[in-house]
Amino acid sequence: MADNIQTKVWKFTDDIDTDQIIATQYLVNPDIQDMARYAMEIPKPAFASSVQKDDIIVARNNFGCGSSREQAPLVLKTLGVKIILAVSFARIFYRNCINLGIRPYEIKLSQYDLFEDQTKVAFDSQNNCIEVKNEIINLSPFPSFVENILAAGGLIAHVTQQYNANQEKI
Amino acid sequence: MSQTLTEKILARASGQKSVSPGDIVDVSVNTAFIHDVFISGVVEEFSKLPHKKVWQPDNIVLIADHEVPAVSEWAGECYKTMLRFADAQNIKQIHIAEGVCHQLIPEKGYVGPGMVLVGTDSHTTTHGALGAFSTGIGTTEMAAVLATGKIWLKVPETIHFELSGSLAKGVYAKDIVLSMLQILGAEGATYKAIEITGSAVKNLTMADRLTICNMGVEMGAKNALFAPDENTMAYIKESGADASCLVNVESPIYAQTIKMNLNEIKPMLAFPKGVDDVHPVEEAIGTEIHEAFIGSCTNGRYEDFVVAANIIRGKKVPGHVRFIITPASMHIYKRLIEDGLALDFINAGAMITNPGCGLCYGKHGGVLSKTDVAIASNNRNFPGRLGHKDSQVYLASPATVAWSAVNGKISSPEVM
Repeated sequence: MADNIQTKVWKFTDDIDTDQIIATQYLVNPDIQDMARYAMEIPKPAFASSVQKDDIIVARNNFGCGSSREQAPLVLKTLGVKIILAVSFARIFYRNCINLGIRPYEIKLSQYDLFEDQTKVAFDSQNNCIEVKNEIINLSPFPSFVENILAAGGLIAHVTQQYNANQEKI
Repeated sequence: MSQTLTEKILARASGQKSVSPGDIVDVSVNTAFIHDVFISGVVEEFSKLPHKKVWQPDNIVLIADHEVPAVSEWAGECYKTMLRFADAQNIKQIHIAEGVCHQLIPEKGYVGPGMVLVGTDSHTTTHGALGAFSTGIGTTEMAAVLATGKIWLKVPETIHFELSGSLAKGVYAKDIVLSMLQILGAEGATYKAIEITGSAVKNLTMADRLTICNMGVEMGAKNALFAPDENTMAYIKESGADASCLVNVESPIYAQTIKMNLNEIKPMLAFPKGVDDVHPVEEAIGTEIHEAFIGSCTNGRYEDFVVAANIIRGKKVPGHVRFIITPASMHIYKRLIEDGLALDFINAGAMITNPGCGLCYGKHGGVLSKTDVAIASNNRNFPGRLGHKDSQVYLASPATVAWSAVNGKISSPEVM
């Protein structure tokens, strides 16, 4: 498939909270680039320095639980992560992802078990599926209004588009 | 019909007759509040929008509570950003260092039954205690709310806790919610609403209900609420909140009902590094502690300090324990002084701090060292939450914290 991207897996366990994604003491760092250097410092110290654009995060249950800090998905976006697969997401984190234009997909536990940390998997963006160990994982599409937000690149861009569209009508 | 309270509120706020779990609805917001840590982010995102003015300044509240007094050179800029934004947008409800947002919102009358509230803090679930739909959102999302007064929400399924019986001596609302966490786990209510009803509810004070709804988010819940009753109406009469959004619920159908007999609940602890690793206090009795904390948006209310003061009065905490008292608002702080409780705490060896969130989010005013063990009345004990990643935090009721502080080790308030 022409659209296949080989992408590296960063695998995490249950209950990775937003303090682990980016700890409180770094929230005051001057900018998001600087803050991103400390992403996942406790659960995976090598993550921030080694993660590549388009790498995917695969997590188990309750990914992104804890505080509402938007810096958590933002540091991941800054490091080039565009897709996160998890057996389940914490709600605020899930919404923050969509509002920033990151795609949070829910997968089954049996699918989670197929992934191995630091291995490459094939992502087919056209068919929105991932091939891992000869199995195809279809990522379920978002409701159309969520797709609209993601397609706009996030909520700010989406609200702006709506505002401008209304202005044109007037 | 058979709608739950959450469904009723979301139907009202989206102008529909009825809504069902899974529906996506565009909801009008009654109160939106932003705290100091995220004000810069919200203002920055808002500035990217073409809307020059917020949708309705009277429905917006700005609260500086996390970084007070200033803990870094950055904090002062946060207050200034807040003041400038309030000035530019004609927002009159601004509270700098007056208390923790989840105490000020109910206390100042910004929440009434049936309202929809959103706040930039995850513990915004707290305000369901007054029969409102209340949930935490991110900074980008808040910017969109400020611009439009609306938010998209997926109608959640409701998990129903039905409470019967009454609490035994030494057992409090915190022990109820820790017991709920033991049942549901840290993600048992993800995407869901939690509604608490039953014959025991009428005996729960508003402080008790605020404690329980506060920790709804620790179970992953979108919101947690109690149907408004006489206690609620008496509270909002005092606070001056708007009661016009009130909705009535008749025999709702829930996704799941969990019955709890309060007579069977014991004093509980969330063990270190797991808010849902809940055990009876007796399993940790004798564990030496170095810090004991009563405060936070979970348990920093006047009622909590009355319970604690009755335990520590005339006693002295041992030298190895730092005993920290943090009233959740200046109003509560004044009452502690006026009623002599502040003196009880000081005589017992406590430090009384200003209202704020510093200790509970590991920033200032009680940061834990590598080898510290703490017992605390707040809501979170993730690794590193209150300081060093190896520090250990037991979450407990104010009574368990106070009695443990006096003994210098974890102790059960059942056997005082």
